Formats: sequence, C-alpha cells, structure tokens
Amino acid sequence: MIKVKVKVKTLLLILIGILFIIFVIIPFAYIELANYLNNKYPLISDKLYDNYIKYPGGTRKDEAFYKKSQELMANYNKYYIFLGGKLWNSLIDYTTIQEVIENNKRIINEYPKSKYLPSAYKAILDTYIYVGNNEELERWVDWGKEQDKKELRDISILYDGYNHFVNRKYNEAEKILKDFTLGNENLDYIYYYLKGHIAFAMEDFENASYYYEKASEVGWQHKSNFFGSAVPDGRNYWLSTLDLFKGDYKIRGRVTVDGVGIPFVEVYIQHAHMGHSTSDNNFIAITDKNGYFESIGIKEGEYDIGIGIGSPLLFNKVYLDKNLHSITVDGDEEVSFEFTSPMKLISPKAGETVKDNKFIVEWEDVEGADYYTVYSVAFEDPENMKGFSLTFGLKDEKGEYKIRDKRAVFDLEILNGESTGRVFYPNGEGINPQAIIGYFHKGAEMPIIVSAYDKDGNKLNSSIPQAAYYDNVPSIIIDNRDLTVGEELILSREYEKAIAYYENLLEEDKDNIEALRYLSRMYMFNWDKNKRDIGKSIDYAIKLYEITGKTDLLTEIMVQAEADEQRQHKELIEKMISTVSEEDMDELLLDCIGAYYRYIGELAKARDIMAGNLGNTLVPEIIYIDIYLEEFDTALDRLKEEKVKLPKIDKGKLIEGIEIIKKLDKNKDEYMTFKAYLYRLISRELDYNESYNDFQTLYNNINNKGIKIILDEIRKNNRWY
Amino acid sequence: MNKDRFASEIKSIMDEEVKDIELSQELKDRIFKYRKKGLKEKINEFLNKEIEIPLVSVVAISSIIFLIIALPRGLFKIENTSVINIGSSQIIIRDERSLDKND
Repeated sequence: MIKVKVKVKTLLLILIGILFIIFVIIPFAYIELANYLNNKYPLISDKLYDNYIKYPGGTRKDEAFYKKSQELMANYNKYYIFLGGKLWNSLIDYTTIQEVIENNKRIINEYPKSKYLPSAYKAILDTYIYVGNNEELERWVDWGKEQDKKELRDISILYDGYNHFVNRKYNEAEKILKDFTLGNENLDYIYYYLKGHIAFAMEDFENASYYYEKASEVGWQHKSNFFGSAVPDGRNYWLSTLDLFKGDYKIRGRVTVDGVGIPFVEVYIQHAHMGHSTSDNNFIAITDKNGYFESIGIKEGEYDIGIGIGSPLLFNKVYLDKNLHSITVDGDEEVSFEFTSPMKLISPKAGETVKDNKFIVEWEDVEGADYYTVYSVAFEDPENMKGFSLTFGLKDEKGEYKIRDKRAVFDLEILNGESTGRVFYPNGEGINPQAIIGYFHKGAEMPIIVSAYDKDGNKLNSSIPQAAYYDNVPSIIIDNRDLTVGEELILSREYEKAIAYYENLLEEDKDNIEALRYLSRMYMFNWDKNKRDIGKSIDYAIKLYEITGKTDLLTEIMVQAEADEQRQHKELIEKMISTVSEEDMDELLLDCIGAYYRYIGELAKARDIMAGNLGNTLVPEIIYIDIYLEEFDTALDRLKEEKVKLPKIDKGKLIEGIEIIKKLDKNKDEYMTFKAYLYRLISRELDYNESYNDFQTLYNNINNKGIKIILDEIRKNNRWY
Repeated sequence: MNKDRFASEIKSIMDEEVKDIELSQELKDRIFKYRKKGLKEKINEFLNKEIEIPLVSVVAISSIIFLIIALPRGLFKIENTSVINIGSSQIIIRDERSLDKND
C-alpha cells in the first residue's frame, strides 16, 4: 500500500481547507448556481435550492426559501374555462401550494430580519388568493396590519383593499388605500392597478385607464405577480377596445365547488365563436367571498363567457359542462360555473385486466341523470399512453351510446370495429395502426370514464375530474387474445406486407371477415403516400356487409370520402345504396347518402333524405336547397316551426332574407349569380379555401338586401369572419 | 542596599568557583532530555511531527465524505411526468403510478 509522509501541520491545513470548501464554498456555489440557472433550467435550479436548504451550512437560507417558492409561483397560471372551450398552461396541485406557503412562513418565522420578508409575506397573500382561500387571506392581512415594518403594513393595505374591491365594497376599498404610502417601487404599480380596477368596476373607465397608465409608468420587475395573478400589462389596451362590449346589461352568476362559493375567480367575456384568449387582461368581474360575481354593463350580443381559476381547485373536481357554447345578452343574464366531486366507478378499478372479449362497467347512481355515457381514450401509442390522444364514446353490446342503466357490457370486437380517432402522419406518410385494427388490442391500457347528463345534455357529473393524477383512474388492460399475423404486420406499420397477406387470405377464403375489414380500412386511409383507394375500400366494405349485415364500415367510408371521391365512385356508391337493406340504414348512413346526392347534384333527393332523417335540428343545406329550388314557402314553413333549431344561424334573419328574395325577379343577373353560387356551395364543388374566396367575391358584388342577409347567415354558419 | 551588595558578592564568588568547571556533552543532553517542556514547545513538536498515512485509504475516505455531504442530491433525478388530455380533463401520468396500482 502506498503511504505518504506528511507533517501534522500540513495535514491540519489540508483538513481546514476541506472544511472551508464543504461549509463555505460549496453552499455558496449551490445558491449562486441555482440563481444562475433560475431562468434557463428551473427544474435543476429548484433541486439546487433544495440541496442548499438541507445543507449543513450557508447563511442565505431565506434567499433559497424565497427563490424556490418564486419558481413554483411562476406556474400560478389560470385555468380558463369558457362555455365554448378550455385553455390551460400548467397544472399545480395543493402539494405545491403547501410548499410555497411553508417556505414563505419559514422566512417570516425564522428570518425576521431578512430582506425577503416583505416579498415572502406578499407571496403568502398571493397564494391564498390563487387558491380562493378568503379566510386565510383575511387572517394574514390582519397579521400584516400589526407589524412594525412599514412595507409589511403597506402590503397588508393593498391586499385588504383588494379584498374589499372583490366584495364590491368600492368606497371602503378606496378608504383603505388612503393609508398606503407611495414611494416603494415594488408596490406602487400594484396600488395603481388596484385603483384602476376599482374605477373599472365602478364603470369610470377614464379613471381606470389613467391609473393603469400610471401603473405602466412605474413599471415592475420581470415575472412579477400580484393578487394571485400575472401582471395584467395589456389591460389598458383591452380597455381601449371596451366599446365593443360596453352596454347596460349585467351578467351575474356564481362559481361553486360542491355548492360552496369560490372567491377571487376572474370572469372574462369574448365575442362568441372567435377563439379564446389566455390573457388575464380582460376580466369583467371577480367573484366575491361567496363566489358571486356581477359584471360591468355589457351591450347586446352573443358572447362566450369564461372564468380564470387556480388549477389546484380543479384537482379531483369535475366541471359541470353545460350544453351551451355562448350566451345571448339581450337583458341582464345569469351564468354559473359549477364544480363537483367526481362520481365513483364501481368497476373497473385502475389497471384491471380483461381476459374475455367482454368487460363490464358499473357506476354509482347520479341524481337527476337522464343518461350516462362511457368513454375511453385512444392513444397513438396505447401500450405506453403516449402521442396524440382522443376521447371517444363507447357503444355498449346493444349498440347504445346513451346508457340509461347503471352498468353496461362492452364487446371488444364491436369496439374495435368502430371508427375512432386516427392520426395522419405529415406529408401523407401513413396513418397510425390502431386506426385500422382498433385500440382495444392485447397490451393496450384503456382508461374508462363515465359521465352523467341530464335530458338537455348538461353534464351532471363524471368519474374523471378536471385535473388529476392518473394513478387511480379506472382502466382496463386488454389481454383477451393474441394478435393475428396480419394484425402484427399492421401494428408494426408494414402495411404493404399486410395488404399482400390479407389479399392472399381472401384468395383462400373470400369471406374472411378480418381480411375484408382491414383491407377496406387500409385503402380508406392513406396508409402510405397516394395509396388511398376509396373504390377498393367500398368494394371490400360491401362484401363485408353482405356477410355480417353491419353497415359501420360503409358509414365510415362515406364520412371519410371527399365529395370529389364520391362523385368519382358514383357507381360503387349506388351499388352500396341498393345493397343495404332499408332496416340496416341507420341515421348516420342516411345522412351520408343525403350528402352524396348533394355532391352529385341530385338536390331534391338529397333534401328529402336529409329532411326525413332529422329530429329537431335542421341542417342549413336543406334550407339552401329549398332556396335553390325556389321553394321559398317550404323553407319558410321549416324555419317557422318553433321547435326546430338551426345551430349557428339566426332563423329570424334567414326568414327575412327569404321573404325578400321570394319577391325578386328570378331572371336578374344578381339572383342568377347567387343561385349558381348556392349550387356550388351545396354540392361542395370547391375546397374550403376556394369556397371562402368564392363567397367573398360574391358577397362584394351583391347589393340585394335579401341575398346579403342570407349570405351573412352562410358566413356565420361557416365561421368566415 | 547592604542586601544587594551581599548578593552580588555571593554571585562573584560563585562565578569564580565554577569558571573552570565544564559540562560534558552527554551531561548536557541528559539535562535537556529530562527538563520540563513548555506547551508551545509541545505544540510545535506535534505540528512538526511527521506521520505516515496510507494514500489510497485517505483519498477514498475523503471522497466518500465529500460525496455524502457536498454533492447535490437528486439533481438530475427529475420526476418524469406527462399530461394527457382525457376529454377536456388534464391527467398527469407520473413514474410511480405503477406502485399505486399494485397497492
């Protein structure tokens, strides 16, 4: 063994050096490195702060506590729920919230002289607003009032003022703010924003704009936030566009979780069907301590209304979606946003293996439910639950989507025969294999979800919360049978070999159901560049129908085939129509056949099929055909039927337009041009972009009021804004 | 004053008596050896003492101590989570999910 001779004093010097490195240099390096990586690599920075906090040494623990919690707070984004859609950035659960609170409390309790003390105090208040905890906010506001440090008292004043503002006690809020002393650049901009918010809520928009401008002049540090939200730095600009909304009607409502009102939830408004913005700039109200809100005056119009809520509140809570995508404001309106605890699934549990072809889903009763729907999720890579995902309803073994019982039985073969989600790879380079063989195959894990609805289609509950960890989501793992040779080929995306394999199989057995189904599907989708062949697909599907009597695949092809492809394969489609017996024609297939007749120009036939196949929802194309065929009274009769709905279109306006063109000289050029356009629209002669340009050209050259009104409704229906 | 004179007289007599006496080196060494050492001297002696240490063991022990105390823990062990959409819900899939499932 190698030994070295060393004097004791040299050894001691070395030891002192090592201790200096361990207890001084390394902690210093940790915190400096953490600060340096803070922006670029927050996850690593977070771990370094953790290490620093636990390290036996270091004199800047308060800094580590504060900066770590700031990193967590950087994710305090709102979860936006609009009637027409949802938007979210990142999810934070209560564990993170607890950590932020604890870190900042430790600064307050253990480092009373820390320069981070005021910021830690503010972080606690922001967090309680973010999670809608009014009681804790008030408790900490009171704590701040009693402190000697002026900055703490000023923060307390601002948040007390905010609390009074959200409770619509504007005068009291103003009175509280009088005790605030300007001159602290870390707080002044918050003061001005709050003054702006109060003026805004009191509909004093000029003053609101003045204060927002003042806030911008003072400025703030990057990544700042206050009142549990990001700095609404675009609010003044939004205010300048307020004329689009400003009016006399109030929108009132409540945000509740299990019936309890949630405070500090921002309420937003946007014009309907215009997409959604993720900014915090445009709130029109904030919920009070009981969850109630009241907006500024809004003008008449169709709006999408939404809320911005802290994501921890959504963990393990179900948002009760309404069957409503917008509201029409023509007086004071009420809209509420409700969350509830999820309903329980009795079966399956998480990760239950299905060894048979059938599985049972059973759930607890939901009061007032008219029907239940069972969903699963298709993943591009179902074994690893990766790639794109699509949620789809499951048909039970009786072929029902809407289940009125508290249990349902599902057949894997039926489910795999259904058309579900698919992903088309870029540049026409194929499709995911599950689109062909189905998602319920050996090894796949399929989450199972049940939702309850009332008779109007409003969600009453669901087994899946708005945000959750997957750990306990009920799911089934398929293990019913081994994959066939052809399925293995498809799963490994060797489509060419799979096609050859199945075509050979058909030569031996022309009635092979598996071969017919998969060949039809492979040709239906563009499994490789330019390999789609709708003709072959229909041909195989007709043979499959003749053997099984099932029309699912035929319907799927008709849904997939473009108008041009349907015109091209007219003979085959006619053969299909004549082959399928009347009793096998379901609503969807009839719809597709109606569309086919539109594409080939047999408009009267198309209209009769479509009209005969409808419930209370009217398809606009039926009215367009009536107009095209100059059967104006028929169109008017249809539109005047009260129970008939025409989504996205204003029936009254359409009636007005039809009444005008009814009296028009039918030989006038303008009318003839309009009629020719209608034909192109109904028979879908043009693709989407061409059709849009076609519309614009016509619209700009039409003067007749009646035609213009009809065109406006066509624009609305197609969302050509 | 008489006392001082007496002392200096004694000293000069003593000097006269011993001026021809010479100590051998051996005796000097013995006296040095058995005299009482001071603390500073002891410390200096200890600090200047040479010791032999096994290089490999020292390096190994130092490295282990360094690894245990100083190296950041879990720096690259970042929990692998992914968020999937189930309908309009967001579900977080995390690594330890299988553990829960076996429970």
